[in-house]
Amino acid sequence: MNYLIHLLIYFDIYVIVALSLNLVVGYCGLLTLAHAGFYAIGGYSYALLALVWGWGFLPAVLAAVLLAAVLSLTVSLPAWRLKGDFFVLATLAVQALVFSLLYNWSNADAPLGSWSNLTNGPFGIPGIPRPEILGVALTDSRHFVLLATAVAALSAFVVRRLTASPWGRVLVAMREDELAARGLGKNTRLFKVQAIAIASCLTAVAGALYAAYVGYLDPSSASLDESILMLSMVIVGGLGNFRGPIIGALILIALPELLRFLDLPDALAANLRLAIYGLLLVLMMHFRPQGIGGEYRLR
Amino acid sequence: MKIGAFCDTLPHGRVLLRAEGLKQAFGGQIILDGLDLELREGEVVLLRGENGSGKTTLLNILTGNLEPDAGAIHYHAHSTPRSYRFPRPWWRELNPFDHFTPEFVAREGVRRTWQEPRLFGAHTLRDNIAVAAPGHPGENPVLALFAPSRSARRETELGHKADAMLARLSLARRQDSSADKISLGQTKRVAIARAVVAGARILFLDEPLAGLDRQGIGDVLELLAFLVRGQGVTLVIVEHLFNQPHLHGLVTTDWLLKDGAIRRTDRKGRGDDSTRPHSLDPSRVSIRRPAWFGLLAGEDMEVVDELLPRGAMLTRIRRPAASKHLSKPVLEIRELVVSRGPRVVIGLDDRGDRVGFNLALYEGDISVLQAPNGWGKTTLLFALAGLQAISQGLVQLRCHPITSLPAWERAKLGMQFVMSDNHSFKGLRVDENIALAGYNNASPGVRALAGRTFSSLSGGEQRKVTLAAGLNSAVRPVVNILDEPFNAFDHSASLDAVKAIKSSRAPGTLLLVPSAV
Ligand SMILES: Nc1ncnc2c1ncn2[C@@H]1O[C@H](COP(=O)(O)OP(=O)(O)OP(=O)(O)O)[C@@H](O)[C@H]1O
Repeated sequence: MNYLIHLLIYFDIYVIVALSLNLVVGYCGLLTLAHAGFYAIGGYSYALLALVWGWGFLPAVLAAVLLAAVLSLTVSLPAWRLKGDFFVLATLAVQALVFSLLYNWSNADAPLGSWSNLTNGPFGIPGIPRPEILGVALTDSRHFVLLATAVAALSAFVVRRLTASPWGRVLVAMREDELAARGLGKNTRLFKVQAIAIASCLTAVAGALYAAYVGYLDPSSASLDESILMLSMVIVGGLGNFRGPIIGALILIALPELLRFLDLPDALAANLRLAIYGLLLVLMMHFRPQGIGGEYRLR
Repeated sequence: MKIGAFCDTLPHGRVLLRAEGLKQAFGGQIILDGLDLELREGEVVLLRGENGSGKTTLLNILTGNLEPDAGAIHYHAHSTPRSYRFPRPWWRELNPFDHFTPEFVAREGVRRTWQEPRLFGAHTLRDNIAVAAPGHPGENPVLALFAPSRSARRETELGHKADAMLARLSLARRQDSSADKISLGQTKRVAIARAVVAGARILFLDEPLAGLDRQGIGDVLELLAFLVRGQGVTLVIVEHLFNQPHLHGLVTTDWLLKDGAIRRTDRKGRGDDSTRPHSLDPSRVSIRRPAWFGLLAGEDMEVVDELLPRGAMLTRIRRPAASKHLSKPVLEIRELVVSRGPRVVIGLDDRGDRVGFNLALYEGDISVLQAPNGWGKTTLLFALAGLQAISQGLVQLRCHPITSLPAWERAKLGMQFVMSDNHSFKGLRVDENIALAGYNNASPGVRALAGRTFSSLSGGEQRKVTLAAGLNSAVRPVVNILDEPFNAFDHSASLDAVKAIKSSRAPGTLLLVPSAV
């Protein structure tokens, strides 16, 4: 039972991540590698504010969201002019920057959270408190799962409503033919800023949930591997609609768990998992480039 | 064509757009040289000029797609006019509300269409039109999220408007089909409708009739007439030579772009034909012929028409002078069936039975295959070139079956192709493109372009290079197959093209064109 609750919490978190990433990759057609960066920014902001400064869950998450929104400009400003491979490279740079900041902003002599040791570097931040909501501390996973599911459902609702709105329609038009959309008077730069900011905010919430749930955070949550895992979800599940990323999150959460039942030696299992991810991606690209439930294929 | 008699009586109103001293040069080559122009409400302008004279460049500048080197543009369509002066000082770019870009110029009531329709393929037809509406509250994510009823109200309104527009285009029951599933003529009309729903006061049209059959041309003309009469939209049209006569009833003003400046002439009434080059006058040839037909067929040649299934027609121009073996087939197509996905495109008869498509090209002939849009012209071309798999049938080149050969083997055997969308190597220079095609005695018109990269050429210039490269791609050419060879050409380029086709060493030639019937 606990195991299933644990899986459900992970699923909740990654549904938020995949749905938000789909806004950028599937709706705007912009392949970003920086998504894990914003996920980590959300996680670290919550961790530091809650642990060091004792903020409550809601204000800390709100601050994390605001920070992510502002920093999302590092991705959306390059998107004004860059497209395709060059945009991917720009986001790779953002991702590397976030990772190295988190990794290097440390000083063994200074206390955690001080200016010279903001992130504690590779050692990460242990002991992140579980949230307390309306006076109830969610220390029990059976309570936390309610919060996680509620937040995931709310995010799904927001994404659903936005993508079905005229705003989402402009995103798709922009993805299909940006020049034609501009010719109709659509300020595509503004739409890119909005879409990337919204996606970054949502994934920051997911990162905060993760930090609160696991209680420990290190820079690997901002690693390139993490970004690629997120991308795999939306690519395998499918781009450009609502159900695709949810299917993708489900598959990529379930897959390693299924492998676990094969009873392989640990060293082999970890590598096999990566190999299977890779194989899955290659097979998808070849046989079903729009993903399992998707509508749009990356070009 | 009886459209547009009203134009003569329409008084031309106030100035909507004025440009002064526009200058534009590309790498030292001066294209626009202090150009002035004035566009008045209710005018329908035909912008003419030779290939490479700068028509597209001017269109790009006036619609905000390209910043000119110098000059000024004033947009007066709205009550508060807006002016841009060039070169713009850098600090203006810091103001996010003062840019010279397509989206800002669009707000001044200026819209454009491109040669390709550029519909949004993932959207339904209704959404393609609805998305164009300006000032939609639902396009603000905050309102979309928290005030969905406001957005929904506007959305219903727009849906009705879009449906009414689609009904006008006789697409009433197709609102929900996706934009990539309708014919070329229909997409072109939807693209125009989209621009108008977005509130265009001035609409620039880049070759709105290109690639259309007679039916499609009629439909687009009808829509344009409706825009002028019913919606008070002012039009500026760029159209290639052979389609210009179609616009006669509509056009009120000619702009001739020459040496970087515009010479303006107002047409006094309909039927003022002084601008029409005489050798290309379509009224001299039978109505079933494309306008350039007279250039290909001489007096001494026999012309034979043959009706093909599903509204297509094959016209043979037999040239006794070109060959001694007039009845020897060079290319034979027997019982060909080509499908795209599950749909059979080539090989159906009029009742929809799968009988296979037959066609033979004879030595010395220039054959013209006229087919309506959607007939499968391009599919046939690709199947012959070996770029599209065939389901059944036989293709023989000089009695050798080539059906199982890959594309490059076919080219080696002497099949030369000129595709309609200028399949060349975009990043290479013109001379490199021609060298790749194995061509070393290019015409002067093409040689003048050597050293330029292909992608920097104008539409007509690209076409010249593609034609020159295509017609000289084989060592020992046997057949030439050309898709819409005269598209985008001005008068002299058309004459050059005709000469190149007639003097090609290939004994057989097939031209594929949209029906003029
Ligand atoms: N980006 C560019 N770089 C360099 N030269 C260019 C560029 N764009 C256009 N030109 C050149 O400017 C000239 C005008 O081009 P433009 O496309 O405006 O001609 P056009 O009148 O539309 O011709 P066509 O009838 O062939 O379409 C051409 O000689 C073209 O090669």
